Amino acid sequence: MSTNAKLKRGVGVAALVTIALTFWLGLVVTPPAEVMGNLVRMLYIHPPMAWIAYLAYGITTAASLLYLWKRTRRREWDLIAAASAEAGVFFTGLTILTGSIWGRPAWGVWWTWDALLTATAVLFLLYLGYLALRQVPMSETKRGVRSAIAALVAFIDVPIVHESVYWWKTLHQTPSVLNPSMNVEVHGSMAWTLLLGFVAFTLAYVWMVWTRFETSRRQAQLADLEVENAIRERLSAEEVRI
Amino acid sequence: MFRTAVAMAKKDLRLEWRARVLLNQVLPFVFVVIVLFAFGFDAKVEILTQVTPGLFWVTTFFGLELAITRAMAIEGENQAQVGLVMMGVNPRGIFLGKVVAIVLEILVLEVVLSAGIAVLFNSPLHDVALLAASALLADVGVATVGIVLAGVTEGLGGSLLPLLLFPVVSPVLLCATKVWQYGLDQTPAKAIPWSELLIGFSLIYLVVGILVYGVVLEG
Repeated sequence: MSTNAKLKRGVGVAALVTIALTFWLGLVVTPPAEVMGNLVRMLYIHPPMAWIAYLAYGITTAASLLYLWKRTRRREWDLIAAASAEAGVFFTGLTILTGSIWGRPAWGVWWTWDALLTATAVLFLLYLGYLALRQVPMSETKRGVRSAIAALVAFIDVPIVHESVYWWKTLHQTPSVLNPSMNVEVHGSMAWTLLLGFVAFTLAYVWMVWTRFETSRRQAQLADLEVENAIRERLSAEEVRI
Repeated sequence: MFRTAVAMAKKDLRLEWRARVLLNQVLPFVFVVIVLFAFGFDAKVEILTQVTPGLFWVTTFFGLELAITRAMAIEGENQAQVGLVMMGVNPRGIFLGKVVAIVLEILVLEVVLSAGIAVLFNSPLHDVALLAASALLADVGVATVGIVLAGVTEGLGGSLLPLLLFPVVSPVLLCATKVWQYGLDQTPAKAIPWSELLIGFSLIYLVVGILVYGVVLEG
């Protein structure tokens, strides 16, 4: 096994262990909150998932920019952008799902047209569109350039999603961690569990993107090889005819 | 850049004047949508009056999407866009020209549509200057990002453009609807923050469009 594969496996195992620890601490060790009771346990996974969604779209944008800039244009940037967007859509979906599970007992509804929820749903749709664009058959460069532009346009929406809490005074509470004053409103064992949640899901994200990137790169290399073989076969057929 | 933009806008508007796609297809289509909305809301005037701003903007967005698709289809015919790039025409000029042409076309559509809605939904148009200014800003916002995304989805099937465009411009829809709501309610002071947001979004989309359109043509 190569060092790269060992490292990736290590990240995967660390992600699994830290996620398990987060669940154990969140469900067993930490106390219920004074006001929210056991509902607070959703706090240990919901904000980390939302953070990963932002991180994933940030990485997609950075990789897309690197692909668009001709000096740094490499297939790898396009593949990283795609892998990160897939992970981003997955975690945005989970953010909406966990938020909805929290919202039912807290607000009495599974879904409400609150600004942050709506903007997150819009974000989810934006990147679904990005992934749909990538599925259309076209040349590799064309796909890379077009997807990179779509990713840049979509990323404009990310700060809007975050700021929407403040622009439109909403039902959703302001972020407990990533708020403008950077005043973390969680303390003690709850804060440590939340921190572990962030680490755990970040590791899971890294492992997912890494694995997806390697798979895509191998697929692309295989496609290159098939084209080369086809050309070689055609050339040898031509030689035989001559 | 500006000379190219003027030439491109004139060319697109002349083509539209000759083909009359806006008049013969887009305008009837938006009225079909309006009638369908009325059926959907059981033709209750009190509900329709209440939701007039939203209906107006959703309908206008459909019209904008059609106008953008049409504007880009013109360039796809006979590979006109490839020709422009090969001749070294400034892509920013092409972009701005297309934005101007689409915005002018849609403003005409909006004048007719708002008059129709005022009559059909019993919604008198107050603060016309505010409504017109917000319409102009929203049209610029949607047209700029729409042209970029239409370039991105060119030749890839018609369903991708609305899938990519409508989520991106949803903040413009929200702001424009709010401004129209307060304009029609004769409380224009409440529309100020939404107008500022509308200016912000439209400017961001315009700058991004100008910056990336050259790369869109390359792709």
